[in-house]
Amino acid sequence: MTLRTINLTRPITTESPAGSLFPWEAPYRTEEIATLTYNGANLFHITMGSGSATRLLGPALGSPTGATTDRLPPERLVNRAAVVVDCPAGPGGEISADQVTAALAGADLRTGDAVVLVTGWGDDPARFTTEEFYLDSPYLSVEAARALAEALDRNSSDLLLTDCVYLDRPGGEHARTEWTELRPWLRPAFPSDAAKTYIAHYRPEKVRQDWAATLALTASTWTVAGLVGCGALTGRRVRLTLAPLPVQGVGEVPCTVVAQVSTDAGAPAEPVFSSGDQT
Amino acid sequence: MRTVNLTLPLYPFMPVGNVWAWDSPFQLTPVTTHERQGVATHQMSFHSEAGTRLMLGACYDDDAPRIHELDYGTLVNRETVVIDIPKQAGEEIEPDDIDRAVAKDPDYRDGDAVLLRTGWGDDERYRAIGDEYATTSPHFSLAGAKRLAEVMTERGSDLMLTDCAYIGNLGEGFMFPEWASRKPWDRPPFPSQQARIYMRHYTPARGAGGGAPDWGSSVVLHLAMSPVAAVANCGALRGKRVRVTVLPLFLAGAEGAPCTVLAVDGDEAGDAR
Repeated sequence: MTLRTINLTRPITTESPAGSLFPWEAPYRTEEIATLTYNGANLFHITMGSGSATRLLGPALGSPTGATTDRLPPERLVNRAAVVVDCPAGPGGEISADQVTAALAGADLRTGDAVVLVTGWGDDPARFTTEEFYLDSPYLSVEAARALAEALDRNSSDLLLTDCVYLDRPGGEHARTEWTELRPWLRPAFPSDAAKTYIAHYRPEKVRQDWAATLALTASTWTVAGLVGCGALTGRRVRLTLAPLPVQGVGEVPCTVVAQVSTDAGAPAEPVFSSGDQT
Repeated sequence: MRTVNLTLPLYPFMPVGNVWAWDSPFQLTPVTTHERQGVATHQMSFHSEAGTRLMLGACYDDDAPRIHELDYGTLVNRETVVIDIPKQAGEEIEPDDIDRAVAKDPDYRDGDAVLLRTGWGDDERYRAIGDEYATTSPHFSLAGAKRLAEVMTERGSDLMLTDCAYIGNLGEGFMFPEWASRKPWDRPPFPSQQARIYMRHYTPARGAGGGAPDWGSSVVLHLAMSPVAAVANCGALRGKRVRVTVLPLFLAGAEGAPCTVLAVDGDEAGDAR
């Protein structure tokens, strides 16, 4: 069997608005420390938010006693059997519980599978540097999130991945209207004083609404949000490998995700974000 | 089969990325918290080569491929030979070590990734000794690096992993005596003014850029292969042959990046597919 490796990770770049749209985010920024021209080597300093890239979300995101991302056992990161579940959704599309249920019913779901819920949203790299890509992403209704969590639990599946950039409507109701709809110069990204002040007033009653789907899912299910290039997963069954940034003691970290697809399953010659030749 | 995580954890001020003048320590700043918002999110700051990291020729060569340009098919389930070269604090890997342990290893197959296990990364030593984990790590002598590059090039191997925290010469000519040997409060890390000023004076004429005596072996290894330094917990590997996955943080344009390293160890690991 010949396998093709497909990178499902959104490139982390300073050209992207990722991490600068919501008050709890922090954008990816770099600063040169050493340069080849001056110091003879290239090295740099990085700041970024835990949620400003393709990322792994775990129970500790919403619970101080929940499992942190470094507790996900290594055997559940490598060569995971996964099923690809199509659930098409367009700009701003809310995915309902019925859509999720129907999509799962039509999938070749096997016990313990990781589930890749594909809307098609992440298939156009040209859009990754636009604000619309982040603000108009499809998302899960809270009922859909609960239905997914229950279905995965029944199937002994502990891992959901999706190309939705966020699990909830981006920014929810409160942060979206109170923060993101302001002019950009009125909402400078964290660690600005404005963002810190907003966060100080962003209390649990608002968070429970804005993050309802995220909290419903991640309480029981390891979840990866923000995949890209899933259109290349023409085979319905793939092998996935996840590489979360090995940060200790947190509930959310950037995560690199690759899939291996059998060319026998019809992997295209030049899939989106395909990385490398046949292995 | 079993899977072993060979990655150093990233935690505030962990030693690898916390001692040299170009280092910026790994730090976490809470943005939202369980106590105030009900969800915990963070801002992170760190060095492009913090912790376990995939290093590329692009560190020293602007024309070499960068993180987003790699063939990720070669970084997943890579056939790997595990080779022991036991070393203690400050010891160097010498050409004799390479000839004895690497060149003559009967389990080494052409094209393999090579994991050189010194024992330095075992038993969470990094927690026990802190910054000395970085400044006293075993490392490669310049001659040892050249010999390893020769052997691996001959065998068609382009990926080398090691539990040495650093592969270069630990700044022994300039950066160790002038910077890393000082008390931590006397060398505040980047982006401090002190670190910026030091880096303005750290030019190739004074050991930067891989020139001997500070980092010469680092350049040799970077230009011959992709080194992965500061892997940990290699003592947990039982087999001589494993399958290794090395996936970096997907930083577009980066000349190297922190990475996660996972090894599948066991009877079938060496004969995958």
